[in-house]
Amino acid sequence: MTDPETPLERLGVAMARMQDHGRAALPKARLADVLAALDAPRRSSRPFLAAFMATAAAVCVLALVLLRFREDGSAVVAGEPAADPVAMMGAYVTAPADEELVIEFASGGELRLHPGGRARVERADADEARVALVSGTATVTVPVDLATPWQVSAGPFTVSCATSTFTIAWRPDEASFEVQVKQGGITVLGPMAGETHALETGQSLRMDLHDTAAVPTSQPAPSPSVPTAVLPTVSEASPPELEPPRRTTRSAKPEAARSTAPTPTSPPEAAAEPSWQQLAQLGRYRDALTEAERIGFADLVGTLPAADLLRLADTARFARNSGRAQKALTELRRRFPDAPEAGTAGYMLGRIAFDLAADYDRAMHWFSTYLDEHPEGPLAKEALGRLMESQERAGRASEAQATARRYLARHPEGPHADLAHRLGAP
Amino acid sequence: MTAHARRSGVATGTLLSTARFLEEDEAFLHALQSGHRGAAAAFFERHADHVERVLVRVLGVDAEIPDLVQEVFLRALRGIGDFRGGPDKLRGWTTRIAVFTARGCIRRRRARWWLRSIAPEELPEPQADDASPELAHAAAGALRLLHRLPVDERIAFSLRYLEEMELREIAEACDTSLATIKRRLARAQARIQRLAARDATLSSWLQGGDG
Repeated sequence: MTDPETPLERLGVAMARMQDHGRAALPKARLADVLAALDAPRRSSRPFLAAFMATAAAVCVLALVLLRFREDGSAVVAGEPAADPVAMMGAYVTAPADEELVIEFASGGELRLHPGGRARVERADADEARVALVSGTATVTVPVDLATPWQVSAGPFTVSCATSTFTIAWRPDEASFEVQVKQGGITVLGPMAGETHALETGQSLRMDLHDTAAVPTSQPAPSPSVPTAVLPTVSEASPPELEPPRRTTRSAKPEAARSTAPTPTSPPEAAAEPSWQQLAQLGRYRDALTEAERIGFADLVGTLPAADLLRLADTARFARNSGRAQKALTELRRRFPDAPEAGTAGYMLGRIAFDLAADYDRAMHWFSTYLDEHPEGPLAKEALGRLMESQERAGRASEAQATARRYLARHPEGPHADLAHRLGAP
Repeated sequence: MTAHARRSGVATGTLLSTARFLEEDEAFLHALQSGHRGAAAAFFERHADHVERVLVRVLGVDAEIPDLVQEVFLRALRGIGDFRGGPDKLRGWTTRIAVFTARGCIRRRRARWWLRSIAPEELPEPQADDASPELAHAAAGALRLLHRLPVDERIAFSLRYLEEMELREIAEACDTSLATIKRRLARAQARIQRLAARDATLSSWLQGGDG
């Protein structure tokens, strides 16, 4: 369309400008992160994945070709800031079979991906550096003066550190994990009955999820400061260069280690590629939501049982994605209107409207809905208090006062009693 | 903080950049259909703004827009293997998916309107900063009226008058004929004229007022 000439055309332009003026910036980084997950190992049941697998070899070749293209004058020179930092974010990189690939962070930290290894940078900003080791071995160096915390995930394990050098290996096909600390300290969180292991210089940890045992790989450390009692494995000298652990070494496991080893709660396949539930259980809510998106969020909300829908909504809520949380909850109420979870979902919709959207009218609607449906429900006290709070914030003073009186009559010592008194209730 | 990759032992670095894709459409489409991760990122970079704009034009300013943008790209990437057009058709194909997604969203909402405490037409539209008061008033009123149009008429009207697309592009985006789009636009205009009768400013504007 050329310059607007008719009143309707001019009106349309004004309407569009009004929309543009009011719309919020698109959270491109978050969306790109979700799309990046499409490159994760696909489930064979999805039709489009067959094509992906069939062209995998061609893709590898293309990737290598691109790598070589970047060696011309326009390439990013090591040590310089990336010309397009977004390009790396979320991208999967695979080290050549005979060379290391070094992923450098502008702050000075680096992840050295050993030959054949595969990884993805999930986040690299002032608040956090997060890398997922998909397979293979990597050496991570986080400098002393770096204030940014690092997280390296490998399968269901997450290694957190501030200042350290460590080598981490993950073999998804065998569900084997191993980490060795060369310098500094790290924390390992994994499917170890909720345990977190702190490792220091010279110590290492090895887990084989197929065999359910933590495997010591070396002798106790000489340092008296090392709390050996909590250490699954300890090494004496500088650990040798790690290669992906082999299952053949399992025969060497001491019975003591075997007896104290955690039992995985999922089959090996799930351990190799953690489900969204497992990731959520580990507290990796954004990863869990990304995984849920990858396998099809719409499919999940249409098929999951009520309890799992609540869990999915919680996952989305903790990942600060209120839209997805609301979708899971509204689907729960639509599909299971008579289930107890439907009431909880109504209450949670109120919480989301209140906490995440500051939409107090909508919050009032949902808290009232919960109270209408479950006047004696387990969340009734909280819902009534929240209703009062929502009314107050929405500027509905008389309604808030009426609710305050109602609240004090039923819960004179409740957590919202102070607010009720402040609102003028006797 | 940023990150980039280089191969150990080489003087110059290496990076799986999306920039190259932006320059090479044929290679880009091939990489996209082959499932190359960098291509998906480039695809998103190239079309995200357009997809978002189409969704906003049809649905209005809405908190669900980011989720819907994501949905469009997930659909597109799942269907890219079946895409048979050339690189120059990719934008139109993406627009079609965006329109399809927006249509589904409108219908879904109408089916469960009772779940919303505030109906879309009651939501205040933002104020444009540089329109005359009369035009701003008329535009705000017209945006509210859009929500009352039948879905297909609303889409046609939005793409034509807000997004300023050519009729043929709209027909392609809606996967229908040019004649059908013309009919939908005529019906939408007539309906808006009728609905605008209660709003003196809007009615006056539509009849040739000068705002």
